[in-house]
Amino acid sequence: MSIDVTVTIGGEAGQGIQTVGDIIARVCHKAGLYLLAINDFESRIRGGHSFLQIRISDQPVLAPHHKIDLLIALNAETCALHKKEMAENGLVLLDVENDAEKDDSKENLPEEAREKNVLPITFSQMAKDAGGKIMTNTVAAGACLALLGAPFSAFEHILKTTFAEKEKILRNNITAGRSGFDAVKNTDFAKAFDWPSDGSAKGKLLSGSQALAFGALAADCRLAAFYPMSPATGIMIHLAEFMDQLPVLVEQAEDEISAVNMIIGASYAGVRALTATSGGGFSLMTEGLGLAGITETPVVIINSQRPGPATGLPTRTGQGDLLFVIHASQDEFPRFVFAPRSPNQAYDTMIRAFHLSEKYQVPVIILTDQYFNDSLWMTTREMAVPEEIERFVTTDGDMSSPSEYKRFKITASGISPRALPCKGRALVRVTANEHGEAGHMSETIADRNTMVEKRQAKTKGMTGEMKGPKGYHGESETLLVGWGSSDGAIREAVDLLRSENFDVGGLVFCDVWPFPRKKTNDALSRCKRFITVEQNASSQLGLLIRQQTGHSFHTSLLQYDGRPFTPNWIAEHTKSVLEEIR
Amino acid sequence: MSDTTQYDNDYENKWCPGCGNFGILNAVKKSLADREIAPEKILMVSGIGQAAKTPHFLHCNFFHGLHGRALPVATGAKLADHDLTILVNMGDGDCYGEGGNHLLAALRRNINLTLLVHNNLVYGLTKGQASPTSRLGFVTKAQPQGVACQATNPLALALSQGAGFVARGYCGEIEHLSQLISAGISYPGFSLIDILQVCVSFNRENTYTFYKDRVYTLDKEKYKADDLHQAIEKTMEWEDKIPIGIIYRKETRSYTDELAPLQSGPLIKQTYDPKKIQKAISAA
Repeated sequence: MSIDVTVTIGGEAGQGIQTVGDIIARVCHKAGLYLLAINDFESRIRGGHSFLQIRISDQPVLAPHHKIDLLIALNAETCALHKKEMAENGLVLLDVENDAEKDDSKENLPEEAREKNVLPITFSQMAKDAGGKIMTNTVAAGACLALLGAPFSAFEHILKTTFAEKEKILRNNITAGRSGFDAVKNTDFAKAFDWPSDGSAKGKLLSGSQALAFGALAADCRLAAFYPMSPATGIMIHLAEFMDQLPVLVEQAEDEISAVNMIIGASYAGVRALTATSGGGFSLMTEGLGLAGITETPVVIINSQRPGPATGLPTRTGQGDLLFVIHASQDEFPRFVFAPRSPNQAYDTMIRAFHLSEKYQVPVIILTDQYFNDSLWMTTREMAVPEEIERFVTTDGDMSSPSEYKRFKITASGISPRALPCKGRALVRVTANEHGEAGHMSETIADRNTMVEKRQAKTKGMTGEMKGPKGYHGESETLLVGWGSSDGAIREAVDLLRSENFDVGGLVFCDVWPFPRKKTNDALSRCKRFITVEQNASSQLGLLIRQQTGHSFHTSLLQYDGRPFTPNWIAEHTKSVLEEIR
Repeated sequence: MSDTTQYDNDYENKWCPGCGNFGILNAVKKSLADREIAPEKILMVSGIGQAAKTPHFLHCNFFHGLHGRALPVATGAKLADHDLTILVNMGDGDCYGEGGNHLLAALRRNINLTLLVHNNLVYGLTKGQASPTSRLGFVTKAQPQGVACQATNPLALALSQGAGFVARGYCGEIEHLSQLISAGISYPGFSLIDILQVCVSFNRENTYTFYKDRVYTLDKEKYKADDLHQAIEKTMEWEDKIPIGIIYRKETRSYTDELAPLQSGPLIKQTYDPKKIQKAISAA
């Protein structure tokens, strides 16, 4: 990468960090650069410390960087908190009140921020002069873009699209942006770069939540019921934006128990239905998950993970729910579990999830996390909408005698023809109790055994649908093995390690349940050792691999502090492990 | 009057002989026959408990779900296809205990479902523990010194939450109950029918004799059921005289009439349009 710059905007919640970040991200995106923006915030509406970190490059960006090149500090605390992360030639712009009495502008700096790389800028004052303090964000964005070497026209263009309808506000913002831009134009910044001149966006800029919502729409999801819970709420908010133009209804339920039961009712009645929550809400949904299991009702449940247990770290990221969702609910029934690695894969996985859920009449769980949902990503390919949706539904016309229809008819595949209620003469009888083929309660030994075996029989077909883990330099001596959104950080760590001649590759799972045993065996058969890389404290994937294949991980690199992986962290820890072996 | 035998099925009924549920089941059949709703056009949703087994004894489509959760399942089904006629059968423990929050939400939503609560003031399926409607002092094996908390008043609760159709029936008055159920089905919003049900096995207090001595039918000519304050007063009558009938009814629109995506018809009947979706996603 000839361009690789990390910009962090930090301050209190409520100071408009998001706005500055959003402007910078959009200017870069529009100019044809690649970027990834991560959101780090506390569970509060005002105060505290939040930041948005944008990594900008001329190559696709897969993970956040561990060093900051340019820090936009909206308060002095931000300087102190990020001091250790500053890159060698990094620069800090700190918003200060100007005191005319002092000759040296550095004297305006609060004591804790009097470092040589801290540049005091009167962002707020400039905003006031341009028409209002509310435009501090625009001033800061202007200064940041000027240091990066952006042409002012690119900045102005984004401001124009942002404030298209409001002429006076636009004029003031351009003045504000200009003053921020001009304030630093003579300042040297080591990471300034030549901006691409072709100026065509390299992909779609979107959050993980948006990718999931778009996927649901493309999968013909009609009902989405939910109870608000970070970090899953965004998915539903994005879906709700389409309620006025597409046949999709977002329903806020009274609790997660209701949300999951609502989608079961909706699916039973014949529409594709979704819910999204985090681990705590998923805990409440486990009873309903079992209901979907025994009634063989297709549903899709997104669990966007955050650290727990209980409330844990509400606005942070983790991968602690893998073994939980695989086993959640009393007793056993088949289910799918997918953990998409990227926004494009998340979109595709939603379409696949609804398809497989109806094909096999089982619940599907999609595991994402706060880092994935809340970050701004760029797609690497187009998100195509399927031409047709196959529904796997039977009607009276398919039956020789609709009055004898049995919802749970025994078949070799375990999949019974699924009719919808009130759509013909066939009665659709369904119960949460164990039952016979016709759907009435039954406690006979024969019915119990037959139904358990019928449900379990689906596992064979389902396992055949599972894709193996994706290798990246998968022939290497040492493999870093992970799942879900860690993919990007693992791949960049592999690049770092290989550039230092370590024979290291990566192997990252999306399809985790039913476990793709044979494909995993094949993928692991050639390596000398593998190291699991996960955001939990026990290496849940490692344990699962050992249980399912007998292969044991050499060791694990585990992080459970609620912050996303950086490639550097993984690479440095891998090096320590490998050096010990030598 | 049309034939109620079309709703019979041959699934063996295991309710206790003399159970009040039989009267309720017969009233349901009668109402459906009167309204000429064919078995395949009915969806019955239930929770868990003896009441929740009702759909197994009726020739119809049914979803017999989890304890307390019938209303969310029914709500989901109604949102998916608001042309469906959905009856919800729950017991007092099921609806007022385990499913209490769902009842509150259903009342607020005012979604067009007809909820029949088989209220026998005791837990039947689990063999005789106190329910939310058991009276203060009611003695059971689990509450040997008597229930120490006061009974819930579900009808007053519903009225206080803005319910538009609140009625009470009695399992011993089948014709009357069937008319209540019919009125509930034709009501455009959420209808709550609390049904006094005798439990011959676990409630020796609230027997057929107990109700025979107390139950009286609200006179449709004298009691108009359109005054909220009067209705709330009616829900307070219990000790000597217990009113049955429609206690309160007001003009309303169903929840499904209020939701933008349902204005072009039931969700299930709308078409999948990949081009439109592609366009919407690209523009976002």
